[in-house]
Amino acid sequence: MDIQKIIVEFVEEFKNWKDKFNNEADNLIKLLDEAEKLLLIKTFKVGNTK
Amino acid sequence: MNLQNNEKEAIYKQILNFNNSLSDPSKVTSSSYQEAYYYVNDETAKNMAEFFEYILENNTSRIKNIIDLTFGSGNLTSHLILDSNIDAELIVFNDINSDTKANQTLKINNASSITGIDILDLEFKLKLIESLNVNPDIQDIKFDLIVFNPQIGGSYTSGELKLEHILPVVSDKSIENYIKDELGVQFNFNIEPNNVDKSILISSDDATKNDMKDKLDRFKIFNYYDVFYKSKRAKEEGEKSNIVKLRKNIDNIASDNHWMVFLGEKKIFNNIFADYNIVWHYLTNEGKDFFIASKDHNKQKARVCYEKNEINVFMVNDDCQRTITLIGSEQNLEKLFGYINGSISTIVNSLKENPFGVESDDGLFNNMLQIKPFANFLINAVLLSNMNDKKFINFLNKNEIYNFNSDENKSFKNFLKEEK
Repeated sequence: MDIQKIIVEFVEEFKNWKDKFNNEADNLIKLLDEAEKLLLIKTFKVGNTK
Repeated sequence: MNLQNNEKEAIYKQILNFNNSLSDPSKVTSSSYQEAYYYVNDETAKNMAEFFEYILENNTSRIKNIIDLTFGSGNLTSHLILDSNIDAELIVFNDINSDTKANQTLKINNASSITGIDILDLEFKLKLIESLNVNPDIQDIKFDLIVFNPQIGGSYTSGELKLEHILPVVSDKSIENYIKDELGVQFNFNIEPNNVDKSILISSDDATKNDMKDKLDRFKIFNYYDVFYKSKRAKEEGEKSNIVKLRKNIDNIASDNHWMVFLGEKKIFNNIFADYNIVWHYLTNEGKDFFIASKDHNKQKARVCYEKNEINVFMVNDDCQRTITLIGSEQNLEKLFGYINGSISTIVNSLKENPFGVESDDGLFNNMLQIKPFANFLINAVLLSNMNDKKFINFLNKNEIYNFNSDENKSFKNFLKEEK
């Protein structure tokens, strides 16, 4: 096992962690946007009410 | 099959009891299976099953054989079958962790089985047939309904299902024409498809490695074949993807007119099932969406989005964006805040598990300011200062280094700490 291999494995692990983290962050942003819209709608009774 | 209501209720009750039971019976404080492994909860399962029934009623589909690929959706699959009164001949609940983390007693009827095959296994279908102990004369098995929820099901814990973030190219063109027309390749090349491996090798005696890289480096998957390329003097470039492995296994067990059911994120669905031309997309308020997809070569590509209106009727949503209704907004908000809380917890856990190797209970933000031994080690290694360190080389030679977050890696971490 050489250093390059360890570093490649680390980069791979980092990449996977980053993807997972980005996905969850995207999800949180969506939820926060949703909450913001919902709070405004509830407060001012406006928005898309299809 | 047509079970009586009381028989269905008994099955649902068994599922609920399991989902709510302790994931670690030796610890009274352990979380329930539902919480620990993100099993699809009852409300979600019923909601999706209602949409499934609505689509089924409006479309002709003969569903005999059903498979749930990962076990976190056992509740969902049971509701899909029972709420729509599907007369199933074979029901398979599969999961790689079926022996340790699954509801072993889940049984819809005599036609239902539990199997534990890795959905990325190269011999998935063969092992599935062996596991099912079907008549030895039967060499083949096809499913009409395939359920998959990789994002919600925490059921792939025995080896995380690392699906790449690649949007595959799906095209009616031949790969030769696609490469010339869409990628603008002008050099001469040869194509060698491998239908067993589901891979395609593009080779060229004329182009240099850089010429090929320039045009083909982002061309990873074509019609669910992994793409590799090779110039005359350089080694082969490209990687086998889990997306193609998974799709190969699904394609091997799918009947011609099968339906694919997917509960999860839209972008994951688009990566795995980009070639399904008919898609019914249910927009939900639960953070994940629900898709029913099929392939019908006689029809044009069509994706129809639906949502429930305020009186719980399914409506087509033309712009495919979720609508927020005024009615029930208090409950929606309460739920939404719950999801936000859950999402933040997931992110905090993800930060704690970061591969830079900080381990401390002093709080998240303190952690981020602390020394990161593994990252420091890597920097040193890259800068070559430790490359020839005897102790370091000896340590490496013991082959004690595994994935950084694995439990086995403690000795490596300790080694690094000692070195500081």
